[in-house]
Amino acid sequence: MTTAASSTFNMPPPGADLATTWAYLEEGVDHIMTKLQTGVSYSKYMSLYTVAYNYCTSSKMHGQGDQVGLGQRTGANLMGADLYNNLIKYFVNHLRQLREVTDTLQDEALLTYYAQEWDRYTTGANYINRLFTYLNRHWVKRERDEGRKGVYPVYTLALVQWRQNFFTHIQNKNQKLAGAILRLIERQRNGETIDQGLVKKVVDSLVSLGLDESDILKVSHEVYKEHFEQPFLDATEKYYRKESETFLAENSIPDYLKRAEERLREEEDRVERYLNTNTRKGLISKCEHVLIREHAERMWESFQELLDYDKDEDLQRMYALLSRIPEGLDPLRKKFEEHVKKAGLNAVSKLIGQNDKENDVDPKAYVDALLEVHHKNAETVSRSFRGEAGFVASLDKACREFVNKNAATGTSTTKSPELLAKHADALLRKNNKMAEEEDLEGALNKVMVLFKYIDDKDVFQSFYTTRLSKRLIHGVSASDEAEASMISKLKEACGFEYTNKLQRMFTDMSLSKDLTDSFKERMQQNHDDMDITFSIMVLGTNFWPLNAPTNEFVIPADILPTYQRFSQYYQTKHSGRKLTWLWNYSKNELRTNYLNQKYILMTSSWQMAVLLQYNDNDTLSLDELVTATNISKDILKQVLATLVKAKILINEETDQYDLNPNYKSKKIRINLNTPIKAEQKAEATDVLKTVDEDRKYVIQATIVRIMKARKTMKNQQLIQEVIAQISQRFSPKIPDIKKAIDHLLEKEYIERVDGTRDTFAYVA
Amino acid sequence: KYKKVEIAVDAFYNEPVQPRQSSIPSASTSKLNDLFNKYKDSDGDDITISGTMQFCQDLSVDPEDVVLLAVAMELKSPRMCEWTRKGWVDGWKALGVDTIPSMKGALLRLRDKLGSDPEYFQKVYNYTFEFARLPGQRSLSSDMALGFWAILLPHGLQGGALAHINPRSDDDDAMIGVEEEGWREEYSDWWSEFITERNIKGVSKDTWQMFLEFVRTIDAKFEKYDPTAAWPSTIDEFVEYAKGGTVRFSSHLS
Repeated sequence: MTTAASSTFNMPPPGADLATTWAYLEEGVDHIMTKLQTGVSYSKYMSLYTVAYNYCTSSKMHGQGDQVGLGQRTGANLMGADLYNNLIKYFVNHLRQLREVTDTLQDEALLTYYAQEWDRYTTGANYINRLFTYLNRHWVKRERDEGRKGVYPVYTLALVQWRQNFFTHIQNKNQKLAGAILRLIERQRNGETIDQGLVKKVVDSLVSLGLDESDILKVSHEVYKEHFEQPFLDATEKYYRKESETFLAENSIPDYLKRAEERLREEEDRVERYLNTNTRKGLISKCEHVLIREHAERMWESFQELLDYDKDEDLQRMYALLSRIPEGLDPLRKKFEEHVKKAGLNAVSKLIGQNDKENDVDPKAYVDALLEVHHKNAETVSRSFRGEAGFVASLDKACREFVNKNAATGTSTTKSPELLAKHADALLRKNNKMAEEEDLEGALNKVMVLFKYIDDKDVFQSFYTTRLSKRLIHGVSASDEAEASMISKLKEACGFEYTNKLQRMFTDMSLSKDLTDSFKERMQQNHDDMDITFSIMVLGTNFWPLNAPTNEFVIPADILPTYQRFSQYYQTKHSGRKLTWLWNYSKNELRTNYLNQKYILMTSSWQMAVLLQYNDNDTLSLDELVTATNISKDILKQVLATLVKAKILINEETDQYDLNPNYKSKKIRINLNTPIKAEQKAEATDVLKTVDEDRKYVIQATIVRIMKARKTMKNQQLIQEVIAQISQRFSPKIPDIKKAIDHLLEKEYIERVDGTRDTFAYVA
Repeated sequence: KYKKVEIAVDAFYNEPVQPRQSSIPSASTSKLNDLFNKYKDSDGDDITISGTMQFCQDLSVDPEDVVLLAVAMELKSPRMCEWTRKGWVDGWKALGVDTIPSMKGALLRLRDKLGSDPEYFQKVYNYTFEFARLPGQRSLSSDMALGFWAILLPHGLQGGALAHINPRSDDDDAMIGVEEEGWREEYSDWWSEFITERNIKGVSKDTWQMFLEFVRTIDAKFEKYDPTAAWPSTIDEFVEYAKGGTVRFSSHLS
């Protein structure tokens, strides 16, 4: 009890006057502010609180007590002003003493002193603030509510006083405080180790010093911005401008890229470590400007060299840096596109250079050359440019150009699809070396990579169809799964219509198999003289790119019964269908009986027809053979030449052909059925002719479809719509579209709308 | 006062033929029937070649005179050298003439109108295609087409019916008041050379009709031509051809 009594001994009684009260309070305040480390007992603190409270609530006994009637002010409202003013006086005095010390301090010493005093001051001010809670809650609040400026809660008051009487005093001397921070940061940029915690403390204090007059709870960065951020950004700009120029004068771009990258990372870290996060945006954009933007030209110039030497990492770095500034990547994308295009063109030129015969480009070598360029640059895009869409577009654009037009194609837009289709054919044939399914699948996927870039997809389609038909007819397709897989890839890329015919071809093949079986069964029931093994393919005219033989042909007596029986069988099964016999695609196997060794000769129909003549003759003239087979002389001569070359026949006198009675061969099965040269050459022209016809039809059909849907349409819109709808198959030329319009006008599918020159209407 | 005259003039030209018809002395149906009988084929219902030749002679007009195309339209002649009784009677009646001398006068008037009235020219021009086309054919053989162009174009160009029309120019920069030069008479020759050289066999109705539009709107240097616009492709190709021609032509001048 005695201790308690003694601690309250000096405590002024309730109703004490200002001088007494303040004397007591000031002693306490000063103790808290300057000797807090020595401690303040709870009771002391409570008595201080009570005194402040008592004074504030003792209005009736003091001063203006006789004006009670005025607005029912409570005590704190009246009495607070005295205490508040005394507090200000105390802070001013206190800070004056502090600031004198700073006059002799510089740089780190100054910062250390500032930080240490700041810690002490703000801790003390916090306690003081709580001590005067009652004042804050009533008098201060009231004053502020009434709009009086310059009255703050006690803690804020302390900060305001610090700023006015301490901070400003230092800053007024040549921004002594900010200057000290900036010099410290610069030393860190130069590689020295600094006390980052110190910087952080001072910087944080600047944030605390900001004050929003209208809402003191809101954080305001005005002091931070004015006294630190702006000077800091200016210093940064100056520092990096100088550094980057000096560095570039002595180092290469790749080295510079590394440096710039490092610097940017450092600055990011700096924000994390001791700056206000709001500074990040300004700082980083400043750095980007000075470090990247101002040297972008040189980076762009060096880009080609990096590409040429496959400097992946440097490219990646350059990409990452330039992507940070607006339009930084545009020149790179353009250059990259050029680069890829050139690489593609060079690859093909090199290939052509190796071949003397320009027309005989090996499809595989050609496709491999194109793929290699694509693959390499696609890698660059994904590795160095992070698969960024703009670079992907550049790659695609470049590939589209060199895939369709290069040294191998000349001006022809059909050569590339032709070669690609031929390559696909080679892949899908039995004899190709890619035995393993996985390899084949991969190779087909690669075909699709180039297919995507082909403009004339319809040309590819025609060649592919022709080649597929041959694979199926001659039974040389590698596997049904691989065929189906390729078709589904094409379907995925171009839609159902594109592969419809291809799928129908497979249907025909399987129907034909069934048909052959059922025919065989029937024949076994009805005839026992069938010593010919017969299989048939019945192929829909509309789905197969096959041409009927142009020459006459006498069906040899040996196969005539089979021919007739099948024709009849088919007619009874499908009456009304017309069968066209494609002798030119048929194959035959003949067994020899006239030699010691029995051989099996694999022949074409024409060869078979010729050889069968020798069942009854040992020697025949050309004319006799023409009469017997009805094959035209031109073709017959070629047929005979093959047989003579194989030594089945002997041609000693002009136009006289004898059976070779001493024929010998190491093989039992002998393939005589090699394609005739003229047939091979005709392929490309035939296909292209079909393509041309198809295109006319496609354009017309597209126009009709559009017009049917739209009823009337302006010429330009119509042309654009047609191009849009067709361009995934091929790029229609405007004159061709106009010709189609002419044609449809003439056929009266469409008409010009009366009184207009450029509007068409659909004629129902 | 001045205004009233102007209005009257406008009214005069704007009025369709109808009101004026009343002022034209009505022609006699029987007289026209008699004339028709005079020229009619003895073993048919219509006037055909011989009758046509005869009445051309009576009217002192060359059978290849352009005015006969106007007459053909007025008399609804279904095809060359064929005239029906109804077309004959109604046609001449509408023109208000029923005697050879008055018909001669009508021919003069029609020739004038054809040469100077753009709308009338176009009607006759379009009619010519239907009239000249062989039955069952969609297009006109180019021989025929060239023949008709050879008589129609000079007449229209000389009389003003084919005068150059500046197409609605989109750019305001086009100098107002500066006359743009259009189709030149020698271009008609180029056109016929082009048709012959390219061995173009038939002229479609669309090409026939659009060609008139083309002649009226094209500038003399073929500079404003847009090959992607809705012109028939024959005309596109001609412009290509003619541009080579203008180059040749201007180098001769210099």
